Amino acid sequence: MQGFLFYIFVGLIGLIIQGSILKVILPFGAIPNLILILVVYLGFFRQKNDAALFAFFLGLEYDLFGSHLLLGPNASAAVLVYFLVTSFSKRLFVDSPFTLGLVVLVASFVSHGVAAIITSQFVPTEGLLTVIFRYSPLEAFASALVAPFVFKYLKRINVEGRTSKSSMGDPGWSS
Amino acid sequence: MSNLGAQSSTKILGYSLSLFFLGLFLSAFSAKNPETAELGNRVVSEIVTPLQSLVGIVDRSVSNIWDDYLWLVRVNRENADLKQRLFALEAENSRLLEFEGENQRLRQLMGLVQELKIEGIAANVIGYDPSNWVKSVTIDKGFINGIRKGMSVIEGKGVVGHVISTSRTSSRVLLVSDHASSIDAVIQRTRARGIVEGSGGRLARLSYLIEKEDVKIGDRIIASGLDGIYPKGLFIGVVTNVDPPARRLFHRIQVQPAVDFLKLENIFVVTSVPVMQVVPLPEGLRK
Repeated sequence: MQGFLFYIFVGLIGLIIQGSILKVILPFGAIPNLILILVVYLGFFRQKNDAALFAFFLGLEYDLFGSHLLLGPNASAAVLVYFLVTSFSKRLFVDSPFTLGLVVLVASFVSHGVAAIITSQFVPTEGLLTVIFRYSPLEAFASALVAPFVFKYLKRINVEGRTSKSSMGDPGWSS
Repeated sequence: MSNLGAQSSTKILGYSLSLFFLGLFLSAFSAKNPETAELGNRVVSEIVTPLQSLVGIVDRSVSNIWDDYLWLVRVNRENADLKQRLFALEAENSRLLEFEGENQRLRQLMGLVQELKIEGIAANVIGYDPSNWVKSVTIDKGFINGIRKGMSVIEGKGVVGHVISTSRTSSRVLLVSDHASSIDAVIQRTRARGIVEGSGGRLARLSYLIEKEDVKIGDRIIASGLDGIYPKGLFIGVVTNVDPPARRLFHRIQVQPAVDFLKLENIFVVTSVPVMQVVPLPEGLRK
């Protein structure tokens, strides 16, 4: 429960920062998706059943916080991203900022694509797809650039014991 | 790198698949019942509004301090002896300038309000939509202040958008620049009618203006008042590009909105618009 609340709270703070300071200071809509970075972080460091649920709720938080007409597209996308990152994490060297950036870049495209496909199934998306195609690359690159710093910060607050090691899960590469 | 076992991996796959389909189900459900999404948005807004307001205040303070600092460095080079005094003066000056700017914006807004004889509620922008998909802002007034869904929102310079959802203490405004936004408009010079549609970017477009209509770069676009949301005469924007209709029925017109949506601070929610009065025909003219 503590871990769940921690991620939801960090997600909420991320969304507020995304929707206030970052929106004003960063040009051309190149706003990093902090929720997605958090989901990728979960995929790398918390390979447990409950983490899929955390990813789902982080995506749902994104759906709820934004003005999206639907609840669920980003939740599904977040779960899919979580699962893909978890599956590939054993083959990736996560300490390299480049690899990390690349994973977040790909995850961002996957997430946008999945959320766009789901949204287009239920609501008219005339014009929306153009917006998504225009901003997806910017957001993906911004997220990729920011991800190594966010990871560093998340790892640090984890080590400092804001959440217990057990609640954050075993990174899994020590053995 | 990971010691994720096959069994654990299968379990995670099972969980993930279930949650993925739960997301799909939620999407379908909220598409059929839009009030569910609205209710969820409302609950989150209630929780987040105080935090957002706080972040907004901190954001403005930090930017003021930064401005003061820059000014101080310049003054220091000119006269080191007056550093402390100038710092204090500049801090004061910056504060006064802030007040003056706000005063000017509010005066501009009030001028527009008096000119159009509309009534409404002044509000502050406290946040933007975190995604790039939707262009919307959150304001610090909700239904307890009398704000209702569908009300139009203006700024001193022109149209901002309209209210799409309200919670107790905050509301969400869909900006003119959003892809789903459209306003019935006329070109002020020629009175030709069209629809101003958001493009999802900084610019909007004027659609459905037929080929024979005269339109030039620099033409002012105003609200026609026929859509029942935006009061007639509100300034929407200026034509910045006209693509002549080669083998097309309509012009392709780019519009620069009057409002800079990234610099929104004080806005005005229009709660009532003067009703157009029908003047009865004189006796002699009636059938």
